[in-house]
Amino acid sequence: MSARFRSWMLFSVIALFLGAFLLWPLAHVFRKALFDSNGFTVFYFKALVTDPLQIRAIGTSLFIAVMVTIGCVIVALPPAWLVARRTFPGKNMISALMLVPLILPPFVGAVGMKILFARSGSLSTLLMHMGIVSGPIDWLGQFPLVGIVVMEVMHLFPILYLNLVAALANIDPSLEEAAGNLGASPWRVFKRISLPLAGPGLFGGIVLVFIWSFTELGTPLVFGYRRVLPVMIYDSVSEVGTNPMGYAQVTLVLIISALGFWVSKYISGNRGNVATLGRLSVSTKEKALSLPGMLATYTLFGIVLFVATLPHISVILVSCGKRWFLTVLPEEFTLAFFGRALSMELTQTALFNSLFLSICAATLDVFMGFSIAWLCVRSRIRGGDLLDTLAMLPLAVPGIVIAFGYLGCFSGHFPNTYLDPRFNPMLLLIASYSIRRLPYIVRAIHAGLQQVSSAYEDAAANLGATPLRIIRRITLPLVAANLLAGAILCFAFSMLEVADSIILAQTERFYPITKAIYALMDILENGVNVAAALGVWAMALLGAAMLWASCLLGKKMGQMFHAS
Amino acid sequence: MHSNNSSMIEVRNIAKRFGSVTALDNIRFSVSRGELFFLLGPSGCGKTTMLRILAGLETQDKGSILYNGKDVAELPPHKRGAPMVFQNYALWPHMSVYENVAFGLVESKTPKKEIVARVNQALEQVNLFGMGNRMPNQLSGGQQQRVVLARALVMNPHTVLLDEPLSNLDAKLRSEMREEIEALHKNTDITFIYVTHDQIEALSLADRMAMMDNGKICAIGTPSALYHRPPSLFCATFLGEANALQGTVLNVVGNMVITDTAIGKIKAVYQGNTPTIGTSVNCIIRPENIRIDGAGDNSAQAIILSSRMTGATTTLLLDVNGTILRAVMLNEYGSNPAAGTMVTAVFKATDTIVVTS
Amino acid sequence: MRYLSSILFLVVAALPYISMLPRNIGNTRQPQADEKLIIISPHRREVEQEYSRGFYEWMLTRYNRRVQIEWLDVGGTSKIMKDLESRYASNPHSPGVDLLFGGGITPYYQALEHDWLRKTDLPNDVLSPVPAICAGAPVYDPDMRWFGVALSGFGIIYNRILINRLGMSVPETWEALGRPEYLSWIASGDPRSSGSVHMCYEIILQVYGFEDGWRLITRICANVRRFGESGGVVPREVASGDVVAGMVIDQYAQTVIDSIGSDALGFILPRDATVIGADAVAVLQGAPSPELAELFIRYILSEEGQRILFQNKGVNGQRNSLHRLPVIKSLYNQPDAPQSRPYDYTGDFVYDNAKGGRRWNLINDMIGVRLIDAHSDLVQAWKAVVETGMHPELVSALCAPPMPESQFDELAKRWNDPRERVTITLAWANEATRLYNNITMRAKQYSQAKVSNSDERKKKYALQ
Repeated sequence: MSARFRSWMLFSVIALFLGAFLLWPLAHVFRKALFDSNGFTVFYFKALVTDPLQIRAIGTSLFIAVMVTIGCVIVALPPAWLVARRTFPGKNMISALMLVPLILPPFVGAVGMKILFARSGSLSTLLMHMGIVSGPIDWLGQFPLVGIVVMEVMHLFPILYLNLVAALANIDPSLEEAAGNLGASPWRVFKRISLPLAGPGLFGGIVLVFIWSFTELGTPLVFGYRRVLPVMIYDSVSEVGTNPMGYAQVTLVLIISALGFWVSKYISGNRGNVATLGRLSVSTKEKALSLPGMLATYTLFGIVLFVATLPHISVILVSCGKRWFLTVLPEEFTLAFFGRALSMELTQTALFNSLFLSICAATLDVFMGFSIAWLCVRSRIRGGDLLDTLAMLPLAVPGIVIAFGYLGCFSGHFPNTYLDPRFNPMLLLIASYSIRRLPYIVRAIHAGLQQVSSAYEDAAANLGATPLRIIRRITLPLVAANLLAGAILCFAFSMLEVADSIILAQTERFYPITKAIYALMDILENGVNVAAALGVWAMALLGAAMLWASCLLGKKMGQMFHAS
Repeated sequence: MHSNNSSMIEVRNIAKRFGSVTALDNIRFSVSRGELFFLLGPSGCGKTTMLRILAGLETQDKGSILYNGKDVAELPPHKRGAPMVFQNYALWPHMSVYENVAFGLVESKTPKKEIVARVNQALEQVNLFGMGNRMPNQLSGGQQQRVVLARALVMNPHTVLLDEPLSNLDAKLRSEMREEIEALHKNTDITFIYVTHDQIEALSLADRMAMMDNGKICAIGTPSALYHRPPSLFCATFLGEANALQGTVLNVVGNMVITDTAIGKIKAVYQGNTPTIGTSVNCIIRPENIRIDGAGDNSAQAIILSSRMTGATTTLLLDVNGTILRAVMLNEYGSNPAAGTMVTAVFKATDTIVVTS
Repeated sequence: MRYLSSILFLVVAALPYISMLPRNIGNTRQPQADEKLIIISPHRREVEQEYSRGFYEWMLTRYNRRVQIEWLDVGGTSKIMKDLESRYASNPHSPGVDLLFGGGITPYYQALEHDWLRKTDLPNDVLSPVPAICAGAPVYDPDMRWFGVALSGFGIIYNRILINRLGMSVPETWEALGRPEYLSWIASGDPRSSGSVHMCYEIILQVYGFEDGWRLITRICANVRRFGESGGVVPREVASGDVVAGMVIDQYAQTVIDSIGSDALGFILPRDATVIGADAVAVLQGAPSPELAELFIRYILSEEGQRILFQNKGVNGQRNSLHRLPVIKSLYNQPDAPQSRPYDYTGDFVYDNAKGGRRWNLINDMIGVRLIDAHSDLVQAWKAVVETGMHPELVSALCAPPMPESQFDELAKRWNDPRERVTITLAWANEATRLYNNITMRAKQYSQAKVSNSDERKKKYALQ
């Protein structure tokens, strides 16, 4: 068997997997949205865009996405600039703390925030105690969208922050100095030099945030705001076999996401040249801050971090507080909910399911990610780029679309087999988890492989190592750090994957943690508290995972969250 | 000298394209057992590609390669038994010196005891005995280079391929390593194929060398033959320095050619085909063969434009009726002519070579 | 640092699993099962858990068979019906499910129309302790296709503390919930996904008649703070103080009152119309294991199975108190029986299940599209109308039923055609939004006119 043949075998296996679990479900969605028993029809699309409520839901979803994106830019820009351009004591610590919001899935954070901002919750009570207002204020009832937007901004701004710091750090400071030298004020320098040069990074992050918030299912679901597209898609899950409206909605989401992704590619492609042109030298120079500047900086970071950790704090309080109602803090504190979280059959099964699913997904991802990166970077077989593009596709395909596609596609074609999510969703959950995380791991390994000179492998081949031995003895050990970091993040994020878990797992026996958390919130006896207790653990897990991964990757961590 | 009939490596009509770029065009040469053979040429001429094809790291589009008379086209790199010394060393950073050197032996499933013995021997050979436990990043550039050599030699190969092995070293280390490679070559029966763009390495080490330009071989021969009797203008100008005077062939007498150039009629020698009268040729004169005293077959009145001392020698720029000639002469304290002096530039006909291309 | 962080990660990841180990050793987590019974149900997890445990033990001791129940959770009753529809559409011979359990009775009437239910002949001694009728409504199907398992009442849950604090009155009738003082203080789920929520609205439509019922429903919906999904939203929002009251099934209310305290929460069965309904179970056509399914029905109608409904936690290995009412009449004479006595209840109102089943989807869509999807417009209009001092003309315009009952019944028969459904709901959506916006405008104009009128009058008085 020649090396070439083996490459092709590998290529075919991966292409087959991606074809079956990514392309086919998507094609199925399109087909169902555009064809019914009478053949081709745009009837359901027409219904989608003529129904004022559907339009409003689409509009609301877009509005949320736009507001979240703007919010993230506003929150992320000043800290990113400060970290990239100035030095101040404790910078590394603060910079690391900025990632803390990422460790809490927003829908878990929403559980805590919902109680903190409840009509008779902490804030209302506090204001009433202080005599500022006379009666309870219904924050989330009156301004439900604000709650969702704030929640998602608090979760997503670090992604933009990471992108921005990386983009700004890539700009040669001499370019900015030259502009200052030619008479531009610092603000003008920022506007005319730094921002355009950071454009691709900024845009990549913006699109990621946009797509993410546009398709976020968990947060509006927890806040009980049902008139947004993702929740409406979730609602049409039970009609997946009979009502094509769901397919039309999913297709619309897919088109909008793909469009955003393509625009970002296009723009960063056009501007990419400018930035590389500017990279005259790699040295970065950071200025020290003056005392007032330092104070202002600390205040800024303090406020951002406090607000950003509010969900975390509230989740922790909910997990150990009893009877939190018309009081500022819970009336009693207890650890009983953690005990219940561990003793309930629902949570126990869910913990084991998630462990199993995430390990499988991470393993599959490491295998696929490495193979794809290797095929593209090293073996350079024809079609390698195609595979790479395919592997990046999930960035533009939201989890909700994949899950919906699976449900429609597999339960219809393979009833009562392991491909039917109604029969046993484990296989499909593994597939969807791994496909959702594939772009990140491919990117991590890609970066690793590109840093490893191919001469290392040539030398090994030259000294008598077979291709497989080369991979085992040379390539794998050399990209081990990237591989491991990718695997950790893939594992941790799979543990906390929301949309596909909620849609695909329909039997309690197969619930992953996220669906268990969602189900717990329906339990009348302190279910929310138990859900929060699980959420606290999830938070700790993701936090530890990010810490470990960033120790392995160092500054390259930010690359994992680029959109293009 | 090595006899040609026991050719170790034979390269037949190799061609290779990368996209629209022709990297190699009809390359042919053969190397005898134990020979130290150089591929010399400017960067981008295809010499490294040729070496990688020999190692099996690239595949040729056309042509064949014979090791010991056997075609190796079907052999993947790990079965060719021709270890390579990489320009950037390619020492695996996650393995110790010992592990790096032992790598090839492990892959060929050599018994453990033998591995230990052979690795130690190889390290001794390159003066690194006892450094086996170091990691590559704890070594200096010269030491790293020795490890790479040891890694190749430990395999007892029939051939070692060297890709600009000294280019990352500073001048002093380079000449040291050059001597060590020469010693290694003398003490073993290994065939070396050595790729470089550095003519001094080639001239000082090579048994024979092939000069490459633009994917083609333009000359093959011993260093002295190629230097003193260059077959082409490119060969003459790339190998050392050369004055080239354009001229027309006036007459051919025996092995002598009379040409008409900008500085007058010049007597020169030729090799290969007899030049046709009336054709345009170049007359090559090495700067060290031009004198400004005594008498010779060719002479011309010249003004010294500049005189620059460069250590052991002095370089003069001579203006002969608007044509600039470069001359190099050994220094003698107090006797160097000053700029502006009128002199007679003299050179022998046997030092003047006519090339047609 | 790399090393430390790796340890930290592994410790955090392993923590819950390690702490679960000692529990699991002593835990009899249904060791193994040889057979499987698949039940689709909107029941709460606690209910499912108790039946899983009870049935396993019952089967083990009586028949020495190990049977595990697999509960399919696809959401509330309405979602279950849609799910079954999908299942039968993809395989008309078998839905891959044995039993439909819970969700009241109405869905079973709906299922009968699709011919989804399989006849089950139970031995006489199983059914004899169960009265055929309770409060005028059947407890089981005379044709033996569905069987009531538990009885439930629908009523109003309210938050005492909040009502006192806000100086409101306790809503004691369905009608009270439509009073403008409760604007934004009422909770409700979505009938499209919850059977119990649907029941509340269906009851109102039957008690007050279609047209008056619709008027009241419109006002209640206009008072709703925000529509949640499941029926559980109501007791939770009342308990958390987000609203003061809501319509709810008795067992939910009892559970929440139990965990929060009866000092804070109260539950009322409205004087004007309390409905006692049965919660049923049925074997599905094409059930994979019909014999097991029948055994399950015999179990839940046995005394052991019935006691699960009301015995307190700790008794007979029960883990959760379910606060439900059994169908076996004699059980009410036992000392630990529930306080309510549904069989003694004699209301004038008799709930018509067949009617409810026929129009189930249509009512859901009508409330869903006109009142829930357009909720924000409705609330705006309602607010504006309240500000006019409940101008009678505007109130009746806002609450007007979209069609007379006869037309409504006609429509219910045609409600299965997907295109027609899409077309009509689309028209409703447009019509509702237009109506609400129009009323908002008129109400605002009226209020302004009133203000300027009184201003002018004041000026006049001032001049005099």
